[in-house]
Amino acid sequence: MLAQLQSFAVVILITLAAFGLGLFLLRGLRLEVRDRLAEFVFGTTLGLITGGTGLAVLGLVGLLYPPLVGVLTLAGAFWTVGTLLSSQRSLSGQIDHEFVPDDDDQPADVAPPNRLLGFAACVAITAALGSLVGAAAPTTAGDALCYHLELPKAFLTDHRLTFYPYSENSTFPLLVEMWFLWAIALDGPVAAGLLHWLAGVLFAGATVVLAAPIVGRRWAWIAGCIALVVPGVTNQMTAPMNDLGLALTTTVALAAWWRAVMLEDGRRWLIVAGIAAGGALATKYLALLFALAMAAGCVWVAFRMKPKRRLVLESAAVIAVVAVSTAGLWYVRAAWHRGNPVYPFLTEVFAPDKPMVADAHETLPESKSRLGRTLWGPVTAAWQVTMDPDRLGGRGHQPGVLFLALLPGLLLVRRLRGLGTLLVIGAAYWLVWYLLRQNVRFLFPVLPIGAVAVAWVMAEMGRFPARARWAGTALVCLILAAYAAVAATRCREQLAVATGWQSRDAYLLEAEPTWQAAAASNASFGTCGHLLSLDYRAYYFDCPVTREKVFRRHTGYHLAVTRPEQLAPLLTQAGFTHLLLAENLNPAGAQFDPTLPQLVADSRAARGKAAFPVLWEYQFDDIDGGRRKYQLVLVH
Amino acid sequence: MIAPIREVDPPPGKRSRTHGDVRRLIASLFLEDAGQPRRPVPAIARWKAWLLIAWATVATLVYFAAMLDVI
Repeated sequence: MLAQLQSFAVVILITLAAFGLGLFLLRGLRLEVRDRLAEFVFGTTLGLITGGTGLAVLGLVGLLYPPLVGVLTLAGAFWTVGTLLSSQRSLSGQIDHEFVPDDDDQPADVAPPNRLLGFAACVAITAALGSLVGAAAPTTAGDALCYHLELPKAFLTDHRLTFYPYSENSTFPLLVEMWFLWAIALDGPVAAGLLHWLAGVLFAGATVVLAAPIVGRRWAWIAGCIALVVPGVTNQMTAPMNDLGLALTTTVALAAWWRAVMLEDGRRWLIVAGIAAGGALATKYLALLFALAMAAGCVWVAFRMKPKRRLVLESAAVIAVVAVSTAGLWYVRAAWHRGNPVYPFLTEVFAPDKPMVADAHETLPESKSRLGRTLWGPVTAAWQVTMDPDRLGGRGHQPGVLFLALLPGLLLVRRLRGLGTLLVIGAAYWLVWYLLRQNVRFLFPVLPIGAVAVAWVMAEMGRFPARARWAGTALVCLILAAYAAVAATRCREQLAVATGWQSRDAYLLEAEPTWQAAAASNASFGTCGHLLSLDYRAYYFDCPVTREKVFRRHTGYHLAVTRPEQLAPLLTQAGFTHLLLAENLNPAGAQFDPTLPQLVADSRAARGKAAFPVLWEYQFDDIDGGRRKYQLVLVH
Repeated sequence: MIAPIREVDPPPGKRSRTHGDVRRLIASLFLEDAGQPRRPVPAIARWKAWLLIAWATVATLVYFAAMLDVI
């Protein structure tokens, strides 16, 4: 229980520090945000981006020490509390300080009924709390243990942003991983998971901020709830990944651009948009696709609104400069170490230093475009994305059915000022997504645009005949309730550990495939070893872990083993002290490459039992249905 | 010194919702209807509305069937 409280306390501290940092930036830019929600969303997101970039700079100069991170965080949190208290005092002297939206703030003729608003709020709170249960449990998500958490842990161990040649992810843009590093430095992986859950909540808040000037405040809350309860979003909120971080930063960038260009609320918002866009570029290469979509939006606005042309041009220039300044260090770092700023992509342009031995990356592989690339594909893809997400990255990341069900309603409703521009940006992203990267979780950046459009269709249902209006509202409520039910029940297995009734170790023993091997490894040789592992889950091992697949691809070591006796000296020479072998016992679930186990078996057959002695062995039944045998083996 | 002839309006951010409601209430007591009632918004045709509802229902049913591995 104490461990859980500590994780929550750390996330609150980080949030306070980030919010204070963002508030400092907003006030430095003389941007007065009267809306509390917008202030929190803009402030916290800017603070997280700036704080994460600051940690990266500390890492570049070798100062990533948890005590230093802790002192800076505490100072930031106390400064924020002091600032908020003094603001409260200065405001309480006035008669009142509540922001009153103008009538123009409610473009829809009819505001959503209170019952609908209340229902949407209940659904969103249920989904968020359900996801919180998962976020508060130690993570067992493969990608998180492979690099989202593993890299921050390794950086903290080395006190710097070390380059790991056999970790392809180590030269990715890693801003969100810097947030996780922040949490791990002060607590551990659970705090990192909670921080990503917070990113989901901020993402919903950013959707409200984006939607409010377009559909009005109350419908904007509906849009925020719709964005929050999307099955893929609630699923991602349970684990420390980076897709929600990307969606948050792109949405904040879009909302700030909207204020600067569409609402003409001041050019300083372009700086905010630039920092947020830089945050997106520093999170994932995918942000480059969103930049293309934003460029399409700029062209659209310049084409449609002549008086804004100069402003649009200025916005593109300012955002580009600020974004490149914010995210540049990650691309320069990748270029420095790999000779390719977007490694491992565009290897056709940026030739690798050393040739890959096996299956080198293609920028546009067939496996990433399961829907093909046809003229009508972008239209029909909406059906397949909704109905068959398993082909496109898994149903865990799906956008759900609400968008497919209601967005055709845009053909029936009135035009809404501003919505066209949003839809152009969304359509451009959809097209680029279809052409380049067909994975459902890469659609997260356009979910807020879809949510705004759905909210507008719902608002226009007020013009339906009574029975059709009732049926439409009931259908939407049914879908939202189903989403919330899925989110609330998805993490029921984690309820005991999330509330502290079950210890984290006991939970991991049941749920995490590599936990037993990690416990044995940590007890046996701790940090004094180097593991070559078939499984990509590395976080729970104290020693450095190299993925066998990547090592094989880069070195082709298996080709150098012509006699079984050569394997052990070769692995020792490469620095490995132990192996983690994984063998599939049934065809279900993740399948492991048999190359290394076969080489070890050949070596044992040739050299007898003394070769590659087993230190720990066990079977594990994973939730994907796979049954595997793990062996922790000494390289000997 | 020239005295100001009226107080400057407070910035919009300093007005409360209650304040605005009271202003509107008082204004409605003293001001007559401008004679230009707000133009009613035309309803969406029945068939269009039901077409959208039908599409949304079919899509939702197929979706849940697919997610429950019924089809």
